[in-house]
Amino acid sequence: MKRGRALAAAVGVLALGPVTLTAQQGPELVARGIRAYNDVDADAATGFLRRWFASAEASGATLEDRRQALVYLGAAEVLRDNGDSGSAAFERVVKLDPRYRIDELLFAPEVTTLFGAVRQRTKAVAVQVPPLTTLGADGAYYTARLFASSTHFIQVQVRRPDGPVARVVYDGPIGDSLDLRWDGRDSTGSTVPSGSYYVEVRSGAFRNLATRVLQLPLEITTQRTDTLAHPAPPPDSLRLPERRASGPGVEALAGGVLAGLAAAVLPMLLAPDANLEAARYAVAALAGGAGILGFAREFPGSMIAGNRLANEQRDQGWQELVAVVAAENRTRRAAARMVLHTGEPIVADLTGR
Amino acid sequence: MKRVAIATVVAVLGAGAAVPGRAPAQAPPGAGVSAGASAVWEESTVGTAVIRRTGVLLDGRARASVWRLDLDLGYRQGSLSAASVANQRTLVEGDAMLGVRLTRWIKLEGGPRVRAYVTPTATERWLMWEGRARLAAHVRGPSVQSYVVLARAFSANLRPALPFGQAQSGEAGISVRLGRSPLWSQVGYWISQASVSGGQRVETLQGLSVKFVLSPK
Repeated sequence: MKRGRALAAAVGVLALGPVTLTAQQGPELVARGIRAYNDVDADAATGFLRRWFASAEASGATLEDRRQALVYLGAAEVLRDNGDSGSAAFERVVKLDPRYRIDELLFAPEVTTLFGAVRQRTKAVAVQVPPLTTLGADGAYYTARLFASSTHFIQVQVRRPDGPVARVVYDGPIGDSLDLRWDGRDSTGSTVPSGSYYVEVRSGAFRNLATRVLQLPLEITTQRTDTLAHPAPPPDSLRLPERRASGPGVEALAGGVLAGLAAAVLPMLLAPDANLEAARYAVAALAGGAGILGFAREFPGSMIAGNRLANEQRDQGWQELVAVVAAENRTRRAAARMVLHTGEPIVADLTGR
Repeated sequence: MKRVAIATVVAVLGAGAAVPGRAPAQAPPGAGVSAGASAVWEESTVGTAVIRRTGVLLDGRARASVWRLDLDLGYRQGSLSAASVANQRTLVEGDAMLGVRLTRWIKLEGGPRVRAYVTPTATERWLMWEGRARLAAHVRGPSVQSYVVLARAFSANLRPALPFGQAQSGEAGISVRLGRSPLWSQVGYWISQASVSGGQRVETLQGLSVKFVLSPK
């Protein structure tokens, strides 16, 4: 059985010579481990690779080197019939790079099968975002492409560090990959203020049961255009009285009646012995009648239709002005530029907690 | 009754003079003229004899205003006919009044008034120094105004010489502005009574007047 696996590995190595050659250009211990694996010396390969992981060089290695070392370590462990150790190495590979797919031409079927099984049960995503995004008034979005190790549930949030969630961007399943868009607004529809945020991707086999959290630091700078102040309502001093005061009505009544009484009675007081003419009653009736009509027209408390209309027109004009300013402010707010800087991802594994 | 009327006139004049009142808004200098006619009824009592005359007086006035002061000049003239042709006479009257507008609704005036009764054989002149109070109110906005005028003569000089008794007069009516023009129409009733000392002779004039006033205010 061992011989069969080794043969398959050798065939894979021979078939993909250039790839192997490239792999050998990594760190020395990793290269020696890979050569040992290709020589079907799984024990030696395991030894070289574990020595490398224990070295200081491994902690500062690139993702490519670490992934390659882990893949060969897992494959060597499989050849050594250490399935659990192989699974552990492959699980680290999947978490390190969820997009990674093992080359079925390079590795033996039992290696690729185990890797596939590990990938299926390990729920992780990789996120690809532009380092710098600018959102303007043209309806642009902050875009992110998510790559899943296998089908599972994710929830993507934008949140303040140790603060409340500003917006849940996505909550649902992910298959192979998923494109997400965020318009820079919180759950109320308002543009989020400048500051530090995280794009947080919570992964798990079941909804709302995250086993892995990936956080992308997000520095947001919003450049707003000043909005206009709403116009002040018309001052009360400009408001015309809508109901008649008592003064004009009383003046009309008193003035008309007094003049009428004067025309009727005054002659009797000024010239009591004279033969007075009845014509004075016509003037008395005219003046008194005019006073009564004037009082009726200026009846205290009655509505002044013209003033009311003028006030309504003034109020309507003000409201129209407010609407114009509000529309202008909406335009200015929409025109605000938002600059988003995305940092390096931080991953937290919750299964060990 | 007569004393009550006189007391009223004096009280109005006194109140107007004593109360400073609120000055109306300072207005630019202005002027106005008016022309009209009055249907006149005259009752002339001499002793126990009463002569009644009627006629039409033509009336013309001019006014100049500066600040709160008004200078009014008036003239009216007309023939008064009686039942007997021998009793017909012509009435000519002129006055010059200097007035002050204390408020929008009250104006006090004073000045001389000369009245002449002209017959073919003689002319009799009454020169009276008079004080007047004019009250006005807006009846339907400023375009329709009612007014009352009360006047009292404080002294008089008659020719041929007669001892002056008393004289008082009053007028009430209504003024209507014609549209938005500076032209006003005015309808009023006026009465004037003058007597010599002792009441042996009393001249009473009543009139129903119609005027047109050209005034920017």
